[in-house]
Amino acid sequence: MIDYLRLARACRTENELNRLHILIENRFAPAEIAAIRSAAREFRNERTRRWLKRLRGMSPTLMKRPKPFERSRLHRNVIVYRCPHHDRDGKRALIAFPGAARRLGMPIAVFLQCMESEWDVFLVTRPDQTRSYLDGWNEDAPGIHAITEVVRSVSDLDAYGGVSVIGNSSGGLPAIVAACVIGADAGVSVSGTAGGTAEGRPSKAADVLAAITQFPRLSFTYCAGNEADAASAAFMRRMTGTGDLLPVAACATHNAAANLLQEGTLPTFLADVLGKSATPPDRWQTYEPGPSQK
Amino acid sequence: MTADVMTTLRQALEAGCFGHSLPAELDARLMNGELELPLERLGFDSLAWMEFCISVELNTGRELTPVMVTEMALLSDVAGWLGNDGNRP
Repeated sequence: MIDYLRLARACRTENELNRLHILIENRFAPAEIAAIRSAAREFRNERTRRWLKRLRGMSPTLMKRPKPFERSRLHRNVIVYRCPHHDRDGKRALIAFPGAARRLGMPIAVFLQCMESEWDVFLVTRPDQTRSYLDGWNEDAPGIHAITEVVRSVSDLDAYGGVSVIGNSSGGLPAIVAACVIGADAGVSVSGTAGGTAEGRPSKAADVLAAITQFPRLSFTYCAGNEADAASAAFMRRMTGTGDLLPVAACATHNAAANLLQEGTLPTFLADVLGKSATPPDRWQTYEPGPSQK
Repeated sequence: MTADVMTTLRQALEAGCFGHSLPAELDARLMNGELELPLERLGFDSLAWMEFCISVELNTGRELTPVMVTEMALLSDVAGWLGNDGNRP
């Protein structure tokens, strides 16, 4: 546990405090955030108060009933969040590929509040800014196969009752490819981009996918009003030759997960698309958000 | 516009794009010094603006905050702030 108050007091400017908050949002489990809130009660800092209020706005249960996920680092590039008191039997593994912003469209604690405790969530950290996951972390771990092998070795994937993979933004296509390579139950791209602008990345994915004979259940979700993301989803669907296109109506951002969160449907959505059922329920095929979304 | 300002601006925009290469149109504008671009067209969300401002502060030691950016309309306004003493938006 970091000493938030000491670090926050050391921040001389708003940007320094924002930087601290971004780092915390990208890594900290729900209980860690709740502990910061408790500690910060004595810390009369308006910016801290506004930050915690914003987090509470994203997840009303985060501060009062944080899910008991505990964070630990398994590898330089793999962090796991798991609920230690949940029986090992029936546990499921979710491998998560964050996008360029190093998050799944929201603070990791907010995302975990949307997950059931049966899941162990393995967060795969991004390579440096010049590389895609499809390039691998570095020259010693080139390609998506090297990443999936590391994840498999540090997570004991075979011991789980099921494995699913999710990726956001530039983590979308790598998540789909990784799900195929691992032989997962499901692979989900959320506002996935088809490899960014770097030459060769979509073809790298296609090369890997060409060797796949049995595909998992794949889902490609995106804001229906975002033409670039819709095109990327269709591109990935063509590349794999299978899967469900799940446009979220009445939104146009590059963050479909945040829209589902705001609507209060993200937990159900995740349970449906990451689950083992053969096809996701029809409600996601023509998903229409409620009045607050429109 | 000085080279230092353009370098700082480019680095901040790349930070706002979370390290991705700049979109081709924006890259071309910067190359040509065409900065009369409405900031909302950058498509940055609040997190991206935080990263933008953090980059500016790290590179210049001067504090540009997301709130200050909301009071600016064009990319040229940010460049103007960078080129001046930083005390006015």
